Amino acid sequence: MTTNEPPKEEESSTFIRPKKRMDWRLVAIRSGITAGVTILVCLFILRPMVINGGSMMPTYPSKGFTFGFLPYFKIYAPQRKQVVILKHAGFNTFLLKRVLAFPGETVEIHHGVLFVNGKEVDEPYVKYPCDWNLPRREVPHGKIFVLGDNRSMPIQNHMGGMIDKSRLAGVPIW
Amino acid sequence: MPGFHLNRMKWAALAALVLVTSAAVWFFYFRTDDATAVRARLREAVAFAEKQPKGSGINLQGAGVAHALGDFFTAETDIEISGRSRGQTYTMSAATRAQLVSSYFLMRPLLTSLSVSLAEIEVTFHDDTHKNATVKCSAMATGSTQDGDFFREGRLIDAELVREDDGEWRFRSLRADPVIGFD
Repeated sequence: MTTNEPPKEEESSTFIRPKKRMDWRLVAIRSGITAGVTILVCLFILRPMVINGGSMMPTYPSKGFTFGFLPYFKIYAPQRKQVVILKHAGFNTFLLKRVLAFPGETVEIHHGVLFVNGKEVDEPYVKYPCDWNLPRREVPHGKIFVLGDNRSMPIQNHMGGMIDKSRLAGVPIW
Repeated sequence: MPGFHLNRMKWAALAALVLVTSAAVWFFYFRTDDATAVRARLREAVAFAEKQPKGSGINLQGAGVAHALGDFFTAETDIEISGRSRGQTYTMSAATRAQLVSSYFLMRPLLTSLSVSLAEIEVTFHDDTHKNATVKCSAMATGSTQDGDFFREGRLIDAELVREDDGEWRFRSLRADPVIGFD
């Protein structure tokens, strides 16, 4: 390899570029579009959510953060044992629960053990002791049966049970 | 003005923007159709419940409160709250109105604070005269009890309102069920 070759003309040329002026109008338009898209995504697709409450412990901490993927149930049907986000009341409060039974199925709980259609459900995600008893009942049409993973409190203090299927809002992404 | 020149297209765009903004403001704040009136009546009832004296049912038995509450209901109103099988026909009197406030409308007898927000309000009219309306909405009640416990409860509201001869919308039935529950 030779090193004494003269530099090519274009490499040896010196260009003086005028200093770029900030186009504030362009910056404002880009910022506006970015903010608008972010707001729309956060409202309708990936909703940031603060977890506040221990009803899904230990799967989810009592204080935490996640994103809810809202269009999920426009594409897929809920699955048994799936963790879902449900509209509570209004647009700012949601519930994080696990789907356990569907319309027409019977549910009952004996000494903390859940039975769906008379068959015991294996629930490895329930880590805390539970002594709930719930007489057999059928999930009505248009509803689903959901519970949290933390069932260490008395059953009357647990926010769970039947809820309208229409209140399924999405799934947490982690 | 230097640097501020509007050609015909820009004037048209600006005019369209002003028109759309004005229409939106009118639609959300100044529209006075029947559905808006029903929604307003619902919010008025909630505001009434929020501002009542808390801490005891005794204050609620005042004649003024009973009189004011009576303005929200027809002479006979079916009320069922929280699915506790309390559905019954109320024939209004001062005593029952006060009882209504303390045991049903405020949800808990011993509150120190109450705030209710309504959402997902759907108003349906059953005839062309728009004298009967069905309202479905969700309500989030937050507050604290005298024990110092904070509560946050969601309810699904299903109410029927009628427009009486004096032009006021009044509740003919009011049903509030928990959003989620074992029953």
